[in-house]
Amino acid sequence: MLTQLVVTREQEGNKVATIFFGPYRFIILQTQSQAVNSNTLLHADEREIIDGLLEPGSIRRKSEEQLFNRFAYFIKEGMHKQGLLQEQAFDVYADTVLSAIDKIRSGSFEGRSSLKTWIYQIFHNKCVDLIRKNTTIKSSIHKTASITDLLSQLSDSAKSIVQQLCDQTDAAVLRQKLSEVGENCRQMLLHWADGSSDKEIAELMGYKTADVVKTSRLRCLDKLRQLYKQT
Amino acid sequence: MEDHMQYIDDFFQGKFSPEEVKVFEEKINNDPAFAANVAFYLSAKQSARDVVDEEKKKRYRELYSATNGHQSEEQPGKVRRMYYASRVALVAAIVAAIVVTIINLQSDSPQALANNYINKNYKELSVTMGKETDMQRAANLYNEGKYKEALAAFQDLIQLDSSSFQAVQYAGMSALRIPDYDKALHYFRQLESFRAQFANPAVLLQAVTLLKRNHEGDKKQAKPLLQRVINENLDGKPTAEKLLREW
Repeated sequence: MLTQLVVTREQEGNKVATIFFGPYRFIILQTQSQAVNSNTLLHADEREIIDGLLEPGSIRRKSEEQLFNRFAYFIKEGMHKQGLLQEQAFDVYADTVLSAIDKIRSGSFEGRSSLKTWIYQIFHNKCVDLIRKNTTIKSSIHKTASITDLLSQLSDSAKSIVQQLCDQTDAAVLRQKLSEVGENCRQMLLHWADGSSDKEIAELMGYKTADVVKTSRLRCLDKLRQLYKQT
Repeated sequence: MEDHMQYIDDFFQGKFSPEEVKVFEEKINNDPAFAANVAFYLSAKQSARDVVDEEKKKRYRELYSATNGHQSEEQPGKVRRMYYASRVALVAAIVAAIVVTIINLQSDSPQALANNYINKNYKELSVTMGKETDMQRAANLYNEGKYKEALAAFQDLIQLDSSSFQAVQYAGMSALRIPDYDKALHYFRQLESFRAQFANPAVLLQAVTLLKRNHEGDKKQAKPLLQRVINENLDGKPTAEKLLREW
């Protein structure tokens, strides 16, 4: 039987109402600063996964794996409904999960649909892209949001210049140099590229402060640049 | 140059005011060297991200192979009255019991599973494309089955750079292949100190080495290591679960 329960509380000056309705949990957030309502339609365990994805370290890793496992049956759907090979369906699904994690961490998932509906939509679009041959597995259906999002911070003229220069970069050489930059530097740059903040990197790698990480990270980037220039 | 990088980093972290953004963009438009640095910053992040994604996909593949997707949520079915449900359940339980018994009789020993794991994951060591390096040469020796030479080459690399995760891991793997189990254990224990690694199978590899060595007490020592992999959600968790299921 469905039960309904409304809980209202104040959290850091914002009003938060939580409505439990059957297996669903509605969270209605009223912020003081922006009079914006954000409605979410999420299962409690979906919310738990999302909260975990916003954490650093092993909690995030566990939530990533939970997310992957939760909808892994989409792989079989991709094979049966879209006629993909298992390897293709797996790649599309893995790209879907990576893309979803990016969006959740950047805050662009608003929870206006269930996690399942939202992720299925991403998966379906990627399947269609693959079928239409707009993209190939090798070039990866998943275009990392980071570089595109970062470029979007620039005006059109500046973006066009930087994009052209990025296209000229030899990605294979850069990856090779990344493996030569030293293990500590490599790990730090990987954590950075994975969206970890300097504070999180400090915790993960045992540095004293985020400032120390920032200085080291920029030195590592410069070292990588020098190695790349030598080619 | 670091100053440039810091300036670029601050921009992409959204620390600039609208006026500062304008100055930053003008610099891109008017200073080709600066624009090249911005492009490098973004390309480096993209390359690192590609490596991260590949490592994650590898982990997902391992998860999927271990469960074949059966851990994922099942589609809720329609609710129907099942008059014969109890009889069907009884028959299903009997069939399941028979199947489980047969599977158990045919199941591989932990040693066989440890061998499978090594053969599946470390048949060949991955070599990064590009100019041949000492690491690649050592990995090639391993891939050609010259494990003693490979071990010596990886040991040389460790002497040059003891912080090389790959050299330590591959030295352990070469020793395991020789087989020189004590040396393999030494390197896999050393590997555990690389705590910031994205994917570090050190604990699982120690357990696998003990299972392969199979001296008195080795199996007993391997079990808590496998349990640790599961409890701490370390790299190789599905394999550890499979090994413990077959215990």
